[in-house]
Amino acid sequence: MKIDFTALLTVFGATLLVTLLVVTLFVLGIRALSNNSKTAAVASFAGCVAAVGYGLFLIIV
Amino acid sequence: MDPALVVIIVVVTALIFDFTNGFHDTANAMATSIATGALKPKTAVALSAVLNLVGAFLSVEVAKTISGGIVDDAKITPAIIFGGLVGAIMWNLVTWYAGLPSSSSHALFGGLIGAAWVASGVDAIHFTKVLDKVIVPAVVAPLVAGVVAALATVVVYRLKKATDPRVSHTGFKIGQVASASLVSLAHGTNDAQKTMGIITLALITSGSLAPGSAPPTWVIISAGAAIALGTYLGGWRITHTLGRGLTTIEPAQGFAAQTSTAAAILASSHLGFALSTTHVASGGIMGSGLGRDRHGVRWGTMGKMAAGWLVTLPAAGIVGAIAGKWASSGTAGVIGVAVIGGAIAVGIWVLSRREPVKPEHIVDEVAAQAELHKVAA
Repeated sequence: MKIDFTALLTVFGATLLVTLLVVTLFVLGIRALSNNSKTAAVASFAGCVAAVGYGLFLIIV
Repeated sequence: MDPALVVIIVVVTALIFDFTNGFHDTANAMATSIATGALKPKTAVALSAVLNLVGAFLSVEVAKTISGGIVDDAKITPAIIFGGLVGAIMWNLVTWYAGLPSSSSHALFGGLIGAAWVASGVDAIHFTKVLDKVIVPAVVAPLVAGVVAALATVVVYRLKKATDPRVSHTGFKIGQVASASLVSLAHGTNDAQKTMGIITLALITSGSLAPGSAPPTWVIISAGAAIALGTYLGGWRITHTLGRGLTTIEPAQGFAAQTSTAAAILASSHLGFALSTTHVASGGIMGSGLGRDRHGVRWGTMGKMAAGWLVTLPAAGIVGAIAGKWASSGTAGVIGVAVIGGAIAVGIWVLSRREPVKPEHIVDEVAAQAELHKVAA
């Protein structure tokens, strides 16, 4: 009986990190939009896209 | 019966299973986006179908888990796989008609394991692999999605206080569409893989492929196309789902829940964990409800659903065992299983036509989860 706890921890860690990162950046982007600071908003949303893109890149490659 | 003929029957049956899987799961990903008016139903369904197809190409780890892990390919035959597959479809149809919560993925594993066990003996099952790649992830992944969704929801609601409501309303609708798209993509990386795995396993057991092979391209394309078509045609169910109070999920909450669901499924797919995507999505919505209101969860209802999830694997296993044993007895067995399976399928279809769609015929566990969180606005 062998359960791969490292793999389970990886799933938890990756889900936690990516989700919190994307969600936080996205809300910060919306905050920036509310305050009319376009540059900060674009930077935040670009960060979201980059995080998701990197995740998919890791899966494909 | 000619093994090649049995393989063809398995391929066709597996693709039908894949189609029904897509048909059943469309609402999971897209319903909340349609409910909040972020997407038109037709656009949402088409988007989801395309992303399922793309997801099918992203990773074949889950397919490999099924074709080269949970059962011993040297000890089983295509006929046994056919029996397991029919067992899984029967279990899905009966639970669908009776309105019981079930997971088509777990029905598939149950059917395959049951059929292999009874027809070829206990040695044909790699229980360590089943535990490691199916059972433990089945428990862990929904929990992970739930815990992370709860944290994400808390973060979102804290940070969104300081925003202009009009901006954030539109913003979260867009975020919801994006995260729903990721869920559809993730769905393709996990659910489309199960059919690929089964077809690949049938090809390996018939000697057409070497043990340990990855799914051939035609298998990837046909499985992806079947699930995408099912997703597209399953769209009508969404209207029904909407009638059942799914709108209680706010765009910001849906965004948090779907992001964690997609992340959990994608990470699991990458490691070859064969999950029930419905369970993970339910976990995500549960968690986000908890993040919004600690008292919003009805634990009793959740317990009943969890019990329903636990029954699926052994129950489909028993049906798969009977069908697998019979199908492996020879040509008459395969024909018998096909005829009885077809008859039950037609019978259930006729019964379901006689009394037009009732809410209990539309088993949507995710929508049911949303019902738990009728949080005072």
